[in-house]
Amino acid sequence: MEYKDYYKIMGVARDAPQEDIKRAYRKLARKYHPDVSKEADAEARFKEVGEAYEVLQDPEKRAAYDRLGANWKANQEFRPPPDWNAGFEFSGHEFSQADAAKYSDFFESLFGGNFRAGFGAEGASGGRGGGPEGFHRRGEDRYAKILIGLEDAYEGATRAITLQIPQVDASGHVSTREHTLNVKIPKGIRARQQIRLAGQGAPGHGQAPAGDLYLEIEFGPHPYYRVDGSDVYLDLPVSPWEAELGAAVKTPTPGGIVDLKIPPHSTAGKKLRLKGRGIPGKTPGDFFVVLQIALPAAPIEEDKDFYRRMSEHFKSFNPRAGLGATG
Amino acid sequence: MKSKNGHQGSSPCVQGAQEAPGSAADTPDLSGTLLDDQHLLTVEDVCRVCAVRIEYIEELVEEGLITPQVEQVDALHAAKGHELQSWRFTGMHMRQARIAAHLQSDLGINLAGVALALQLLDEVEVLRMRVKAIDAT
Repeated sequence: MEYKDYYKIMGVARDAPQEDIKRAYRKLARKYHPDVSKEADAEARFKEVGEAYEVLQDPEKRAAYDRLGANWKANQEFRPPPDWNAGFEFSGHEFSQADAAKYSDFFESLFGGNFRAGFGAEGASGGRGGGPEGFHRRGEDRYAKILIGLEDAYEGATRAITLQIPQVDASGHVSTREHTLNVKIPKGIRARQQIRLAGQGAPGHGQAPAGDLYLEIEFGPHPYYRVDGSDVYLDLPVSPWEAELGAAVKTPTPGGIVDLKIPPHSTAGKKLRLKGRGIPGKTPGDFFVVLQIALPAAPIEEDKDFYRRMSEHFKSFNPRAGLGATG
Repeated sequence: MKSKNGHQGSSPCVQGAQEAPGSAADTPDLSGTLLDDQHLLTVEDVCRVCAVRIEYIEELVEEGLITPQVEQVDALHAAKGHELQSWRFTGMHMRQARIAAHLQSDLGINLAGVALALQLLDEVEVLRMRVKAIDAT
């Protein structure tokens, strides 16, 4: 287990007053909140900051943490001293299975698990705060985001989803276990839509049923398609002569290659719509091709001569005429 | 981390969900329910997923953050004034409610602030898409 420097994570001094810690937390939470942030490691950072705040905002926990001393370095191999928490009374906060997933092993070794009597066994025996005998409660629902390919929405697919499930054993030890599910991705699914898997959430307590698992869909970045709702966009390069004279070109779509007619006198940025070729469904989306004009490079003298002849031929053509710059 | 707004702290979010290519051989294929616009959820469904109290969903509806459809209820329920029971939500409503609950409890902002944040997030999303389109050309 590695030591975690909560002060460093929060970017505050070891003697920072509580107000500074709260301010630092709010700032970092806004920056890394997984529902707001687009930073690549937002979720991990948000978790880390939340854990640091959980300790530093609570004077009891902070004092206990401080007692470990300032000589530990972040990521250093850590083992809590046997009597490190002597003389501290921890109040409040129940330690649940959901919390186990939230906090690091380091945190758990200090503030979770067997720390207090009746503290760690809760998850295994069921019932927050120890319910009455024969207590039944439906398991919690779980929610996860998954990345799929755009093609999966066109064809439908089966994908293996691996979830980290927190579990608390009879002695109160918390660990995570990997749980793999093969999930059918229905054809026509869109980003942000959810799939509900009944009974795949947390197990129920007593005779009560398990919760449900919700998977929220997100499309992984595609090298050339963009998705907007059920519409799909492609930037398609064409040559100057294809754009001006018109042409039939092969165009990729997630549903397969299609023949696309480029009308004559097309310009860069022109949008061509292939109706119903977006994500399929009762009202299928459209596929949009946005034209780009690609120029052939002219590495050798003969090529350059050709451009020179064009320049001669199109003497009166001024691409900047619309800008009021003449000549 | 308990807070006034009814979000019960412990997030039901499964951390570290990963998508692996292909499918594992030894587990059966699961078909779930796709929560599209046709599949409607009750207020209890939404509360359970978001881990919030029913009053919190009421607040969101009052503030106009989410607008459920209203289903005809039988006379018995109507007489008891169970307006809540007639509400039907889409998966998008549920997603919105879940984000709202997280933002409120994690960032300490009030409902009006959450409403603004959600609106701005939607706008940012649209703008990001445009930037992507421009960068590609």
